[in-house]
Amino acid sequence: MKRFATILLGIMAMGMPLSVLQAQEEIGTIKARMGTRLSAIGTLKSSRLVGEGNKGFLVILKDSLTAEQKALVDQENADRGKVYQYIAAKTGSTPELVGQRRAAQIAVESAPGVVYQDSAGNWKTK
Amino acid sequence: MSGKFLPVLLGTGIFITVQTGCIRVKSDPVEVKPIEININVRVKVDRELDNFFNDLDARDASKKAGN
Repeated sequence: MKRFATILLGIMAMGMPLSVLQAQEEIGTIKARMGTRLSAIGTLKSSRLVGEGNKGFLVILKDSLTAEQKALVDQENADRGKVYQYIAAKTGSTPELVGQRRAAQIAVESAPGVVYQDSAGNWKTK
Repeated sequence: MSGKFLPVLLGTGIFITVQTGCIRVKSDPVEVKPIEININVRVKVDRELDNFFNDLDARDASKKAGN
């Protein structure tokens, strides 16, 4: 009985760090996925078909995107949302704040020609 | 009149002294201002964003080189 209780306690103790490891594994998978999209997203941005919104998400600027391109934008935004939620939980903030801070970083770091939205909602070109 | 005036004045003075002596001064408890909490959270968020996105941004052609 004592042995059983010890084993059970050990399993329960593993439960907490396992969930943390699972979150880290998932975030690693998300990062890898985002890495595979870099080139395609970059092409959309340089063509000014999409821009970087002030909430940290891609925004479609023209209606001429193909269904495949729209799906790519949706997938990227879904992954960004998960990253913002993860960081919000880790830092005690909100996904909205994390998205806004990421948008501010992107506005500074973007190469010339990228269309982005400033904090006041105005669209600008780098 | 002067016979009653002085005791009344004295009594009033004693009354006021006792009342003011009973006044307690309370200071508000020290509180951390919300703006300090906001700055700390922003710093943490920016750091976590850098941790996650640094190597992705380094590979991203739509970002300036050297960021």
